[in-house]
Amino acid sequence: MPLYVMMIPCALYLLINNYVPMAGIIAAFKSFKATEGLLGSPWVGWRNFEYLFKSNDMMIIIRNTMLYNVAFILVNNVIGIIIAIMITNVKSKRYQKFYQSSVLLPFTMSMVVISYVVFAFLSQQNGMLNNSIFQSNPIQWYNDPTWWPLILTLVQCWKYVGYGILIYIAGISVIDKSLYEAASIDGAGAWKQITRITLPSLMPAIITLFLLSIGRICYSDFGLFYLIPQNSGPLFNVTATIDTYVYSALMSPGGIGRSAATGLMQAVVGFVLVLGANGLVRRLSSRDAMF
Amino acid sequence: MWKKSMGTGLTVVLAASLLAACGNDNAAENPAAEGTKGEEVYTVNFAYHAPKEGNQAEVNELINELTMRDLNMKVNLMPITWDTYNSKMPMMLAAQEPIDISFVFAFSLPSFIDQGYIVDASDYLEQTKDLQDVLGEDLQGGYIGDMLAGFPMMNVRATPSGIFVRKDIFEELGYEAADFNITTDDMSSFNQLTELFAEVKEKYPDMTPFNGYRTFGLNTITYIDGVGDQFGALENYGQTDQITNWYESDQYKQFALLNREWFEKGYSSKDIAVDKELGQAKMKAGKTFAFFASYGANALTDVKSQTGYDTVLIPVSDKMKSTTAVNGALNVVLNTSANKEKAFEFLNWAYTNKEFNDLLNWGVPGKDWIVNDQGQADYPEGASVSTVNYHNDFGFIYPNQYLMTPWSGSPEGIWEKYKAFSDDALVSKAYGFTFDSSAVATEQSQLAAVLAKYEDALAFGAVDIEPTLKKFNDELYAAGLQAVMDEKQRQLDEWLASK
Repeated sequence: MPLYVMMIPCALYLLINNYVPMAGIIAAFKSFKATEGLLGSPWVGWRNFEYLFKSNDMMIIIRNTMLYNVAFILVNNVIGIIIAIMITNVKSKRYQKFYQSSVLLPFTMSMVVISYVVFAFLSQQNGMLNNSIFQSNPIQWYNDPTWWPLILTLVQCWKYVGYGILIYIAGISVIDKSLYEAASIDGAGAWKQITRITLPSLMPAIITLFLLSIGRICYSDFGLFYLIPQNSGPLFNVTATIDTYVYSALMSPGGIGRSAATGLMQAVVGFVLVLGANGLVRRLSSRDAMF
Repeated sequence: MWKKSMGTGLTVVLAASLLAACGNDNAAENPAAEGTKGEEVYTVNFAYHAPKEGNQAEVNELINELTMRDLNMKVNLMPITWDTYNSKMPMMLAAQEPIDISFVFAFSLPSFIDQGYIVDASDYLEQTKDLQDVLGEDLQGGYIGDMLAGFPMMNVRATPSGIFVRKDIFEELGYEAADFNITTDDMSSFNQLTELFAEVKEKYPDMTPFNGYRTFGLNTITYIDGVGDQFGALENYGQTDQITNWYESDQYKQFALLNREWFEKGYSSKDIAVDKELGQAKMKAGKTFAFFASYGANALTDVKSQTGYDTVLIPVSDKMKSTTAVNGALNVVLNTSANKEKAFEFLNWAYTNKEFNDLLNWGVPGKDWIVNDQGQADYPEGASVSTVNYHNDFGFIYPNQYLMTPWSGSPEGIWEKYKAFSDDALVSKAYGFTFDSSAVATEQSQLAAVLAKYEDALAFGAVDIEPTLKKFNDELYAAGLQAVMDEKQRQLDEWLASK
């Protein structure tokens, strides 16, 4: 009983902030009129969704959004786990804390700042890369889509990997140390210890993070895809995502109905994918499934 | 954690409620609005454009003294910066914040009207008599159909374009402004610029001859009357009544090729299509010889104060007077106003009161600015733009620029010159017509997305012009350009017939 009482503040928070506003979904099916209010505004069926699916670029945009997210999930988790294992093996507590903080530092930086850092590297006039490595054969970075999948993945990983690392470090630190002692007595080397003890013990954390990311697969980090490529048109085929498309298509303010329609679609796709992924996990190993 | 994250995702959907939450924060920032609630004096919430927010308290007090004296009202100034307007305004509107008056850009009007945010001012003509006198026939720019959506700002009406070049270098090379005679009637005349840039590049190798985020192909407002946007336009300064696609025209292609030549030869910065900084800022940094900009009657003084350099202006277009030039920005009374009559009364006063316009633009007299011996506004002794608290210099987007004290260095009788400046302008055939785009909103959003993809790269010549231009136009038509053009033509024909 006391446990349920403790839950009340959080439950209320969720209810008020996350569940009650769900009623606002109807905005996606209405032509919003300020004078009539949300409830009084006329229904328009699926019209608010039309602009999303009329575009010829929609396939490219959906592909970009999803593939980038898949790449980010893979890269962030793999690199995150590797660095987390490396950091937990650092013997000196002080250095360990130092590394832990440094990987988290980019996470606290604004994308606007990062976009200028990237620009300092890639600027075609004064950029660091074109004036050093590529001096003899300068690349028009902001006109040439070839490199952008790599650049965006790199920047994304650099910025966000620290967050996953924290969770993995927490996960590793609760693994029973006696397991490692027993393993080394039995002659297991460092590699064996990682693959047989660390990774299996981390599995729940990995799956949780994975399912979390899957739910957001239709969302993209607007700052990353808009600011880092400097909104350069020739790159759109590899940098346009649902969020940046919505931004450039709905330039004039106040498109409440269409914004709501976009958000609803993203949420529904994420919801379906989370249910699907969780179902898959449950089938493979029901112990690790989240629900 | 899972629930929370999922929940956050869903919250995004719920625009209305979410926006309402954000709106409340904003309301809390406006103590002035709260403080006067109990009194009988009405407080007008007036949203206006400003380069920064939060420094207006003192100006606000002085304005209140005026409005108490003249109108028995108070004003709550709500400065909004250019770059936050598009995100902030819709939120404040959706949250039903009690804003009385705001500036609205013409291209947003149809969507604002569609959502019912705007009060039809033609029901309040009684309250705005003086305002109508001030605007004269330019009042027509505020009409959409039969609805008087708002009141255009009183400012210079034509927006021709020119290239501003550094005077010192220009003269050292032995040029004179009279050497240049550039006109769109003869596209080859633009090559004079190429020759100039070539010489600058040769003699001053560390200067960038041409830089800044503006150029011919981006300045649709100068060369065509796009009746609201640029998808389907009246070409040749609006001297036709046929809507055509400017991006298919020879003029647009020649502009793109010209920039392509500059880009390839290194006359323009290699980052010009990427870097969003304007030419004024580039020139101020000291390495830029020339930039492209629209100009008014007082251009050279303005550019001097923006860049710190004396410049020579080479005009590169004719002058056109279009509806967009008049109603680019309007003051509208919003439905969120608690007392619309009072709001219109205030607006009526705002267009006719000199002190108000001065305060709004230059700040507190004696502190932010003084009147100098020539009768012009200037910084107080020892102060500069970086030390004064309030200095907006956005006269053109405040109610009545022509009432303001001109800034020091302006030519004598500057406002007469401003008024005369547009007198010899070519008047677009669609002058006074405003396009109601609500029927083609879906197409317009597709077109905007296509434009965003190609506009900068083509205009600055960062890509191969011919094939890209073709792809651009194909995609425009695929996105429904023809439908928008037909709708424009239909409404325009109707309007012309009724005239």
